[in-house]
Amino acid sequence: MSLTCLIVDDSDDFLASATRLFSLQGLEVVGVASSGDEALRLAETLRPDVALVDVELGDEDGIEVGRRMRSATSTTQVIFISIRSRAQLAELMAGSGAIGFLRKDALDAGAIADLLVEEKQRPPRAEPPHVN
Amino acid sequence: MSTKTSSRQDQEAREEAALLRVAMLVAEGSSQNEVFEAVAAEASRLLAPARVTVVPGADPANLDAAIARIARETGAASGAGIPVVVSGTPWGALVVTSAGATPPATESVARLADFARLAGSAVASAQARDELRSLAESQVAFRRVATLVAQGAEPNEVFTAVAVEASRLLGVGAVSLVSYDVNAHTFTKIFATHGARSVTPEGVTWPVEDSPEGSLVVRSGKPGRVDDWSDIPGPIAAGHRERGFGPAIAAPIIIGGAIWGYLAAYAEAGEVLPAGYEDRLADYTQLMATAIANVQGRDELRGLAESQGALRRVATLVAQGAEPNEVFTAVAVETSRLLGVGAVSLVSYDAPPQTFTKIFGTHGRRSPVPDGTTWPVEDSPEGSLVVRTGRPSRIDDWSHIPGPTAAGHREQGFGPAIAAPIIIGRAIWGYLAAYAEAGEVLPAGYEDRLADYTQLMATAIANAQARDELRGLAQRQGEALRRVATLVAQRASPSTIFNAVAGEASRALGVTRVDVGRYHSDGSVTLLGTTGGSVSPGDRAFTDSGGYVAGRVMQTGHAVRIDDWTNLPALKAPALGQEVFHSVVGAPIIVDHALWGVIVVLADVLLPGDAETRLTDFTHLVASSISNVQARNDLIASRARIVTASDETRRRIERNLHDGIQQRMVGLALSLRAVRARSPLPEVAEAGLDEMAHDLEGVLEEIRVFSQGLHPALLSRAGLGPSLRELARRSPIAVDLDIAGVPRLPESIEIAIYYVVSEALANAAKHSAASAVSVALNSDRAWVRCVVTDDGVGGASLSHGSGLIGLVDRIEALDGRITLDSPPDQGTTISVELPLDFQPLDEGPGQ
Repeated sequence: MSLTCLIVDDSDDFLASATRLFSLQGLEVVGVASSGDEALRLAETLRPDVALVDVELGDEDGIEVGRRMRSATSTTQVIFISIRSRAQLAELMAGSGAIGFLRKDALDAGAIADLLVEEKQRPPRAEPPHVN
Repeated sequence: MSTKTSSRQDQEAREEAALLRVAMLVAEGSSQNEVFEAVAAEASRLLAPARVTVVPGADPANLDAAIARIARETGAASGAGIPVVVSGTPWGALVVTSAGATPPATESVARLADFARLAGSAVASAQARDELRSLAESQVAFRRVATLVAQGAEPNEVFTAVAVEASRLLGVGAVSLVSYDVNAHTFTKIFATHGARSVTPEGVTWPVEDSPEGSLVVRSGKPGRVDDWSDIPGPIAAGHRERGFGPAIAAPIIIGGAIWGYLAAYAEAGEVLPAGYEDRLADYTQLMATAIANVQGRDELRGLAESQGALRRVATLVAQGAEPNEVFTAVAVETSRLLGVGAVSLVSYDAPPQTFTKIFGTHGRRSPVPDGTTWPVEDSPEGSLVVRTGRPSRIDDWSHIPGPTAAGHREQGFGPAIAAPIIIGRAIWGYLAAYAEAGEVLPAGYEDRLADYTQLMATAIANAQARDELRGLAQRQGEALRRVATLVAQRASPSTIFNAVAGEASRALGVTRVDVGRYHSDGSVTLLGTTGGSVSPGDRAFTDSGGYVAGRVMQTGHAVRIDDWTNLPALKAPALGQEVFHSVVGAPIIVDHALWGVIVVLADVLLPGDAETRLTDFTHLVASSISNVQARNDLIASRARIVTASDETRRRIERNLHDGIQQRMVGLALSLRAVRARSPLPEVAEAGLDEMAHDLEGVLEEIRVFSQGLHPALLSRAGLGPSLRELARRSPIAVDLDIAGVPRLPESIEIAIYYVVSEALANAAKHSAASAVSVALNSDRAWVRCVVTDDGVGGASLSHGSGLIGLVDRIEALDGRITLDSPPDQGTTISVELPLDFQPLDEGPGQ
């Protein structure tokens, strides 16, 4: 069973070349979005395994979009993507709930799958104990 | 553009500092020469490489001659000059010369005007001091002679002393005392300091016409001089030439209205007797006349000797630079001692309002009017007599004189009174009065003695006043300027600054209501500051009369003064009814040759005649502050524009890189991966594709680093907090970050702080060998401060090799300050302070 993916980016060229790459690498792109609202709507209806969200979504804050997506669905994981380096963005992405970051030029279905596996193997986050 | 404004501002600051230094020299009473040297040095430094020379005696109608002479002497190719004027008369010139063929620019010559004025005041002040010193010296000489007389010395001994003292006083070796016989029309030599060299031995008598200097004096009754003896006929002139004498001066000795003889001084051939020496000699003979006249009447002389002693004590006080009040007190006390009368008052007189003001009384609380009281002239019978006649007066019987002062006089138990005018510069300055006790008698002639004494005192008072005014002016202007400049430096609001300017003007001129207004191109004027309660900028709160005068100043461009409001149709009666101002004076504030604004002084009394002049002096001061502030604001604004424009460009390039090349290269990288994904491919092709992908990654990384250096793109998105945490995380040295509670700040300020921290952390990592760095950021309404400290080896510098130097411009462009403290082995601290509330000085319409 192949992984399903939603790509969120404001560049049509990027959406096209990423979709082509992933289809060749066996990652199923179930949808693409170029704005925050569209991304959240598609994530809700398509329930992809992972959403790749550009940190700079035009005038929108991609990190905020990712954060909202994480709180809206528990099934779709978020990976941030950017032309910039991880070091430049780490501080901004901290606490957003995303499972990882990939530079756009280093996009790779295998790398995405690895991040999802890592997340699954991670011990579950501590939940507040239920007392009643 | 930035450097141009900066140099103009520097120039003005340096000019102001130079003028202030010279003004302080003048005020401190430095010698003329010291002041001239300072003027020449300061002005030369300002106008370098041109040279400035002080040229006494240069004819203002023929400045070219002086310029040519100085140019010749200094080997300069061209020059220009500006006249120096002393008390309204031409005195000399300041000449500026330069080595180049083009004469110094009109602009630089114009800048000499203030120096020329200062040189003029230095001369005036030195002349006043010289007069005083010469007066004091002749008093000393007189006292020696008077003492001889009082001790009962023989007439010959007295005459010898008269001549010897004159010789000492003038610094001339040969002095003759000669008597005149009006009936025989002959002269007789009484004594000569030059003994056997004298042409006429002591005791010899000769015809008046044989003595050119003597006949001059006898004919005119005034002092005279003979500079050139070469063509004078007669045996005495011949003897004079033979014995090697040069110029001569002589002054009459007048006793009881008749010429008794003369005193003459003879310089050596080739020497010069400066102009005015004959007047000095005349002053001296006038004093001596009394001594000579009183060789017989010693009693009268003792009185005068006493008054000379009193004068000397007062003159000494003046020479020591005592405060006017101290001098005035001494005048009254000495008078009381001299006349043997306990109660003496020194009273000043103000002609326009016809009032007297008590300066000091020796009788303290017994005086009907306390010190400092002002009252109408007619209330004071002895004073009004003096003022009306200009002569000494006496009142022996107070019993029938009406009015409160006379009543107070009687009640306090005073008897006869005498008073004498103090005349300064031909005007009555005030009077000195002495009050005997009831039942006592003031002998006849006492008022004349008092008058003699006040005449001597007048000089002392005039000197004390002149010196005090000069020193006071320099001090007050200096202090006022400092206070206003401090406010400007503290970035006080324009209304605070101009309220302060109004306050300073009110202090300087002694009036309560002062308004500062700004003219606009539409012909309106707004009030910027006032002493009349708090005024918010832009209020049109001029009084009707103040607004009228401000309008007149705008029309004429000159100072305007109105004392009489009754016939001004422009103002309606009701408005005048509500305002109680009498004299209203306005003076233009001219900044950079343009009418900028106005200072209006509103007084409920009649202001003295020099109020416009004094106000104009003050507006010059204000203009220089304003032009400083404007230059500074212009500078800051222009630098800020440059920084903003450059930030904007960098941001655009960064954005274009991000949206353009980088995006397309990412597309390229993804296409490569897509091709690579279509395996299997020939091995060679796979290796080639991998190599291309690797190269592409390298290029993208380079662009990333480059664009990050161009503009911190994420800063505007995320603010300083995350951006500084990001910097801290990347630092190889542990960073303790304290930035809690700092809100989002203007972008230019966030960028500046980001760069400072980034550069400081990079420097610490490279050079400091520190184990820890702390970054502290805090802000309030007005300021944001950032301090970066490490515990490394120190020795960092802003001047070279450090990336920090590039930040200094950025910080200063925001009107901020950056300091670096990095002593060896004691760590490095970089502090930055940036203002958040920068306010331009000019507000309101017409800008």
